[in-house]
Amino acid sequence: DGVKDKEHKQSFDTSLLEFLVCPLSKKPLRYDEKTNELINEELGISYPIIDGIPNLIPQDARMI
Amino acid sequence: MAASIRSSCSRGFSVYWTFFFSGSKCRIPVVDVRESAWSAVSWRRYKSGSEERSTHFGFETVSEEEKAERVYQVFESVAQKYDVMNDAMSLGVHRLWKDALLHVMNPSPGTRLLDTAGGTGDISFRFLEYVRSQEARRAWRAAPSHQTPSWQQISASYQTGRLGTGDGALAVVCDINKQMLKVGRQRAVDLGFSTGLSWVVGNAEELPFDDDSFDIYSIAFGIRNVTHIEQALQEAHRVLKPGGRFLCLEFSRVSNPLLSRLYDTYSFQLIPVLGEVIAGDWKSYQYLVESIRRFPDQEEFKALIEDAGFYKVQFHNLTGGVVAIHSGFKL
Repeated sequence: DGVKDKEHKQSFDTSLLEFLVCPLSKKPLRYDEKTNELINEELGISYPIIDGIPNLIPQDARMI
Repeated sequence: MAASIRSSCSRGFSVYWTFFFSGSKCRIPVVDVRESAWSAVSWRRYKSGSEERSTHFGFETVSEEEKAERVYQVFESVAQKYDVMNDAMSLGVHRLWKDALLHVMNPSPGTRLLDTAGGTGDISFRFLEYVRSQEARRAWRAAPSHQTPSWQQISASYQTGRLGTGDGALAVVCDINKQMLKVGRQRAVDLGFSTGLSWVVGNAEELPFDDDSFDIYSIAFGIRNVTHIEQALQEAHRVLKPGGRFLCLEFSRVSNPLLSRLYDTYSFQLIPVLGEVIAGDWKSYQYLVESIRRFPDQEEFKALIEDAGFYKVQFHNLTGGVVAIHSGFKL
């Protein structure tokens, strides 16, 4: 199962963080490797990264 | 103007350009009080948004919430067959339209592109190929007496890692639809694109990118489906670097009455049938045809782009106005 997971999971390209911002506050985001999420500390929300593709739709964000 | 475009193109394309392009117009907008007042009003209208407002979904009138949801469903349902359908509906001509967009864009190595509503990657793949061929041509010109490079030169280029990498050119594909991006990324793997491509799920009306980040913003057959076009244009303006260029490829109005009648018959009678036969989805393609008719014509859309703050806005008609390329600069 672990091997399958590794094949399937593509890693997030952190160079995107250079210009990726929260669509709501337009402030930079922090990449949390453990949860594989992009975090906006100020608003207390996190955006998921699925198969290496960050999802920055506010409606899909999670409160933390 | 037409002559200069033609001469700047490669020889092979000149015939094709004369065929597809029928004139271009350009006007530098004068920002007056009326205009800025208008955009302030439209902004407020957008912001005060909790109450239900209506918009159009094809020829139907629906609430704004519902439009976004239904557009999402359309593209979720057609994602797998999207590329096949584009070929079938346009008889392959959509490829020429997209090639034409790239020739207007004429990106150089190091360009950073935001391919909004880029879904299955058509524009970004063309962009990377274009930049790489530009670079190859440049390297060939620079090579002494146009010889093939020596093994020393090849090994040197490998060491600096600059062999066909597009010299840092980057295309960021941003689409609101996860399904479309998934299909796009699989295509990228199949076509062998590995560097210079990023995929982001995001809304064109609320772009998740910093101000002044991109050299080019492109949106091909996407802006028609956005709920608030003015908002998307303002976001485009925000994320572009000063001097950056806005480029939009979208269906427009056919002015020739004969061609127009032919086009109407074709799109209303045939396209939904093709949609049903190939993708098993009549309604999505019915929406497609109707949404094309609801979209503002060349001049109206040009005015919208100018209202968003772009300068030197111009458009080129392709195939008699079935499709138009709009372009503007952030200064």
